[in-house]
Amino acid sequence: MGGSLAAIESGYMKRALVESNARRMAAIESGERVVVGVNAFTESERSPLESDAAAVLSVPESAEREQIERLRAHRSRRDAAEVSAALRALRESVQSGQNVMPASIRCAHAGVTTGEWAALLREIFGEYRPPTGIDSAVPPARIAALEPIRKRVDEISERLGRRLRVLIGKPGLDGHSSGAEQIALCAREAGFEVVYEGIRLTADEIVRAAQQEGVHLIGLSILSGSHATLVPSVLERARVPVVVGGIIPEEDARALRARGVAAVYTPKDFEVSRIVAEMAEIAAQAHGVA
Amino acid sequence: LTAEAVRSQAEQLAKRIAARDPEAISAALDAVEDAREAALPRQLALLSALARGTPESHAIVGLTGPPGAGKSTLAAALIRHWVRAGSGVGMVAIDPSSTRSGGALLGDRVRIRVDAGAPVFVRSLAARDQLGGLAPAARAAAAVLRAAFPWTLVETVGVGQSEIDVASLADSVVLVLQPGSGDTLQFMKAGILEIPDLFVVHKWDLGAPAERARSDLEAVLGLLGRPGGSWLPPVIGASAQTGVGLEELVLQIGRHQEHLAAGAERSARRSAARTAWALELFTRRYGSFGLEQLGGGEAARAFAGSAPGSALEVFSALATRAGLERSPRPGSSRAAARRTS
Repeated sequence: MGGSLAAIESGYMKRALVESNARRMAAIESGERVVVGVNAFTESERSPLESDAAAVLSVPESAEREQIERLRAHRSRRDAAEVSAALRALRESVQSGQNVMPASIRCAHAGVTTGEWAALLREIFGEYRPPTGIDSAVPPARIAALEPIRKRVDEISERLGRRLRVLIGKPGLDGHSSGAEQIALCAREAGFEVVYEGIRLTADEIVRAAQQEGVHLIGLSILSGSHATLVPSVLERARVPVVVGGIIPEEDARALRARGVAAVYTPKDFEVSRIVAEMAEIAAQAHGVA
Repeated sequence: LTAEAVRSQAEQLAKRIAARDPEAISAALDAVEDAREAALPRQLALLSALARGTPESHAIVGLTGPPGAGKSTLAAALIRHWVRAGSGVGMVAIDPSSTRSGGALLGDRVRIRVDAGAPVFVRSLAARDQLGGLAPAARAAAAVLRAAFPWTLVETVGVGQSEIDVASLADSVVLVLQPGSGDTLQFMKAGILEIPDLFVVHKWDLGAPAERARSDLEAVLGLLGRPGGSWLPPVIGASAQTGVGLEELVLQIGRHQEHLAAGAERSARRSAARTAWALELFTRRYGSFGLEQLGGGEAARAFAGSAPGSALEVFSALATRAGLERSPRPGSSRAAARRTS
């Protein structure tokens, strides 16, 4: 196989993770595997996070503006000539294949920001997009539940004139992609055409991909807690229904639905095939072929 | 809607596509993929309007090769190059990952990273089967993108049928091979050496195996012999990783375009592509029965080759000549939707 690095680059590692989790989710869904609190003994006390508003620290919206002001002030205080000289030295050491650490330390002393430093490396090296693992993942022998969904997806596709198509997007910085992967994999098995580009996308990239690919539905997966800002930035510009999955408190879920999100799913919704079936219906409704 | 209204709507949409309005391009790509019988008049009007407005110089470049040869990363590098040079680029990425359920994972975009706001439009299509080949709407999708952009890339997967398929719609065919994988041998065995216009031995940074692959290929191509004055397909060592050979590839694609435009070959290729498209639409809908009505495949091809207009107009002419109505038959839209999978 060529070692760990080669196994990561070829997608083997990621594929094995996706397949293993797909088997696990299918077993939980069929009841073959019991997980307390998920598919058994689900009754519980009210979460302290929900009963006490002060238990969750919400970052005020002014924080972003204040940070930008601090950044501006920092940039105006530093020695501009030394900043550009340090960046030039960094560029030279990268391009000539030298150790970039001394040049990076000089950048830090000059007050070069992490963003400027990384932008230069990205410009030269490009941006690594890891394999998503799901293009070649072999799904588990699914529970019978998928058969009626497949029929329904076929039916909706016929009425649409082309195959039902969904974009699964992970906006923002969190890398927790297991949920998005399982939805993508199951949707494909159910007969959807699935566009999935992996983690760390901007709202812009997601909206553009949805438009270029002509999808009937967008599914966003966010586990970083930043759903309140990320979802609206996609929702405002999307021409198709948006569903959201992630760690989303009920109060936030209500707010998202009120803004026009078609459905919100949380880790309590362990039946992946039911979510996919609902996505098909939401798309069918929105496109007038229900 | 009256025929006149359909036509004027199509003209409007075609204008917006020529102006690279992404919403219009997306709507047109959706429309041409629509397998319902009722969608046909609009498709016909749209593709005819586009055909009239598309500059002759706008080219379709087919990019094909076995899985793992690095076609998508090479496509991304080509796209960045053309964008830097001031050109817009469209791309039809044909993904072979479709399953029996009709579902597919369209993952090629992952590797096509461009700056926000760059004039690049990528539409993925699911291939007919896991072995690759064209997607049913590939020709129409390429025609839509070609109306908007000077360069349209069509990426297909496989060795053998995929070159033949992509050659039937592209102006230039680039075959991408990976050294040390046995690809070169497989390609030679497939007996399709005449088809590609350019060869890329990708992952050139691998060194000796890459050089060996190139000399193997050059030796075989040398044996073929070409009539004087015709195009000699160059073999280019390139690496999307290091950027080596990319300038050369871009240059050679440009040279091939000039070569095509200078003689009668470009119009001959485009006319053959139009005929292939019309016949594909016709046989998909009417099968061998339809061909019989036209007096067999050869007669159908000859008629299609001489009929005027866009591919869809030729298709209509074929249907009329065969005496076949284009009204929906029981079960036809069901079958059609399945074919889009």
